[in-house]
Amino acid sequence: MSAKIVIDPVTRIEGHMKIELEVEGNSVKTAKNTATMYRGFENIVQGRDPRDCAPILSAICGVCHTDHHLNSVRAVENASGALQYIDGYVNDKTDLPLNAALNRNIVQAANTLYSHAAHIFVLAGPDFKLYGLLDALSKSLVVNNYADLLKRVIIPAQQFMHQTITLLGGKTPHQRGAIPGGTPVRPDIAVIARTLERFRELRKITDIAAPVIWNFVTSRALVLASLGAGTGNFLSLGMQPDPTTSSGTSKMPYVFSRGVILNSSPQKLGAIEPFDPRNITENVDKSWYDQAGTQSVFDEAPPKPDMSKSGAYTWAKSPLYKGQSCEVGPLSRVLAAGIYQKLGEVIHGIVPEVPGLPLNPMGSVFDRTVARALELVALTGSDNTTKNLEVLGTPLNLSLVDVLTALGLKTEKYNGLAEKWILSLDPGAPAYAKINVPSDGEGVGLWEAPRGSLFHWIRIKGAKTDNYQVVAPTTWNVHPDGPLEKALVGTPIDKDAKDPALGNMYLRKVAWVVRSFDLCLACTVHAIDANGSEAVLEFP
Amino acid sequence: MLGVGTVLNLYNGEISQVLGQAAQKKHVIWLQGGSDSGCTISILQAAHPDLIDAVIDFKLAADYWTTVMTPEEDPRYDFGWWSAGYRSEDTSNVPLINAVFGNAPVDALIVEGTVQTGTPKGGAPGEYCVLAEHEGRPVTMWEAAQKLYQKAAYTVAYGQCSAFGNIPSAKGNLTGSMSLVNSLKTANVYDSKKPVISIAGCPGHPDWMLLTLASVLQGFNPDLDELGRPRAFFNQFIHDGCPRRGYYDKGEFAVNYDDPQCLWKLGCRGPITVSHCAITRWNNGVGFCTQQGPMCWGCMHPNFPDSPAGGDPTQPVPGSFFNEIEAAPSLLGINVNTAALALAGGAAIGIAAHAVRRKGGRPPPEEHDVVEVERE
Ligand code: SF4
Repeated sequence: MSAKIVIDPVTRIEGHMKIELEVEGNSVKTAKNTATMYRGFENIVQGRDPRDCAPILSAICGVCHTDHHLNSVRAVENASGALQYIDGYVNDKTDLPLNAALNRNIVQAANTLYSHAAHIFVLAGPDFKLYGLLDALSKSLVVNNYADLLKRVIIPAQQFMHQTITLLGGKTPHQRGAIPGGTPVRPDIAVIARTLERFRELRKITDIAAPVIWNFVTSRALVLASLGAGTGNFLSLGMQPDPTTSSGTSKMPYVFSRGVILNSSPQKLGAIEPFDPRNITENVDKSWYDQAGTQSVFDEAPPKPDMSKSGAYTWAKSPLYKGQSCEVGPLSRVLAAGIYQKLGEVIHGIVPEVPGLPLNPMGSVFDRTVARALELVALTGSDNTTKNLEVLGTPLNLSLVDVLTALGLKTEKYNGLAEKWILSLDPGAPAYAKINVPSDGEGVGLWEAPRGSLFHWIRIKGAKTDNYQVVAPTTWNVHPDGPLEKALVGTPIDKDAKDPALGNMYLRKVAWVVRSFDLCLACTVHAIDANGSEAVLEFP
Repeated sequence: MLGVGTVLNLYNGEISQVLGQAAQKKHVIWLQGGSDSGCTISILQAAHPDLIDAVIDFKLAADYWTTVMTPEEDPRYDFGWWSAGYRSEDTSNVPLINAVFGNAPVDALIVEGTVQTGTPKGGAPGEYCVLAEHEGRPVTMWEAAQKLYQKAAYTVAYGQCSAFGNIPSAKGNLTGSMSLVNSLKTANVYDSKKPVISIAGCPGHPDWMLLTLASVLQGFNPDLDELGRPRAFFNQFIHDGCPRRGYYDKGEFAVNYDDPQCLWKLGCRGPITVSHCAITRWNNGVGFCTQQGPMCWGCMHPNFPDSPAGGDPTQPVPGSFFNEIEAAPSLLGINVNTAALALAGGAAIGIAAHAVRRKGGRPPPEEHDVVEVERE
């Protein structure tokens, strides 16, 4: 006998969302997610000055609020020749001043950090009883309850990062710190000092919180690694291009490299291969648009909304790479860069029972959570030398600083990536170089938002935007037959299950899986049983 | 008896005294329509007061606020975000459904995002945005907004989308997206005696929002301008308080976007955009656009992103943000036939005054009278 559970509304990143689960026995048999809102940005930018697309497309997402703006600017710069993808899309070359390249890295780091912090603490945290943080923090700070934790830890942590983006971009959400040719913010000593100070304040918080979260998650590694296996395909468009090597801005290798991993099996992660945008297609068979079939993302005519199409159930289109559905996000980034595998080797050397990372080569709640925390620390840096990290409850005899040093993310010169870029800013030097936007041409923006790969493409005709295409991170993860739907299948649902530390487990594992993709999903759940009668459940 | 304008102006310790008198929990419903959640993220940036103080001091019970509600049974995690009994299996306790269709009290409705009133092919009116399912049918944003507006004692349109329509309603959109007020008027449920309070801006400034909310929840009627904005935060042009104003007055203009001088020639919208950006500043006061570097893009202007971009709003393709406003031939004709007449008129006269000022080197005394036109 199967039952149906409908979770609606699900709070979303871009578009309201509903999830429908068919449950058989004690686990999910099929899952369907529906994006329930359509706004149609690609139609709105048509005919506008190409430079105007950035502030308009910024409003696609107020959570990844810096990235659509920035990546639209990059697409226009690519069309102008000021940004080039070189060495087979492995590295970037830009004509922008060093300060502009650094500004964008710092803003990307700040946006990613705030977003990860918000996810770890506010969105996913409650599912894990905040990883025992209340108890840990009550010893060092005045924290007795969730309100205290919000006020003294969570809200300040994400505010420091928003303040940083304001310093480098005017205001936030929706900073205006990127325009084709660079940034209007010429960094001075005050801006640099204030930016650095805020990253260091954040570090004080993550230095306390990160080991507690790490130990909590790794103590439950086996359960969490068995949940949420996705498609086993991972895509990353590259995060944090480094303009500080001896090649400067003429060849910027990515710290989190651009790459694709296809065809992993439950036993083995697939090989890392170079990325090529020509392999991206979009399918709209199950989406509410008037077209059908699969077509290239380049020069696709913007589809018209059509809810009458049979078999369609969502506004999300299906982006594919070489015809395959790929997961995007922190896990894909640390995998494509090989950083996560390297961490696995370090741990395996100390705790041989841990075979390496990822624990689940198809992706899992565990791997997604640890990858997000790893990025948080890699970008922020650490001053924590207490050797308090554990795996499966076994002491690793490693501190956060040891981990960063082993991964090459902390050296004598800098502590974490954000600090590296801030200390490289050249006070008072230009941050903008005039570039000529062509009256005819096309350009691609490849970038990583906190939740994953962001693709922009523009065609310019007669100095106007003729066609525009955006493929956003959430679309990769939630499209029909995509990673989230796959990950939900098989998830245990047990109405009566209780966990001594966590309490009621009814939909908690579903929540873990859904939230591991960072969809900003919150509370209310509608449940409709097989007889069609409605019930309402908290989530979880 | 304090007017709300007074309350808002008093904010500095004294407001908390007024607010401390709040005796009962106030029930707030936060709806997200055609939005990008940026205003929800913005409210987390509130500094004076911060969100936690606001919730505790103002006794807010956010009965429905999808992004920040906490689903925990442990009392240490519960501080008033949710008072309705979500954990029950009783449908009537779904906070959104109970507020829209049931008996749950609603003291204030906050709307983030536009309202999409169009009908998708194969769908129902408003079905471009569906918030939930109820009795087997979709509940659209448009329906929820109408019902809750009629029920709530106060309605606040938080952010540019719900205040003025913003980007989702811009030229080229296919969804019948519009501001909250226009959607209520389209549905014939708008009551001019029950104005929607508009905190314009993309995003709306969180401090202005929380102070306004605090005031209305204590029963003060805000002092609003013609467009529903609290005058306490919308009574001068950004240009009036811009740190680059000295350059403007000397006629020194930036040539490159990262130059320190006045950004007017590069497209700055500060002179036609009304708000306290230059006073409150952003993100705990660390800065705002023209202070840090970017020009003002006019994100609080009623016609953003279309006609303040220097274009003729009657033309299919609006002009660019990167055009100097005076270079736009139709500037003085902005919106002559629309509800924004008063503001556009004021702005246009403001521009004329700017032209005069720049020629004369010193501000003519009449200019201040001109600015008053916008205020009244
Ligand atoms: S035109 Fe813009 S940059 Fe110049 S003084 Fe006015 S608001 Fe400031």
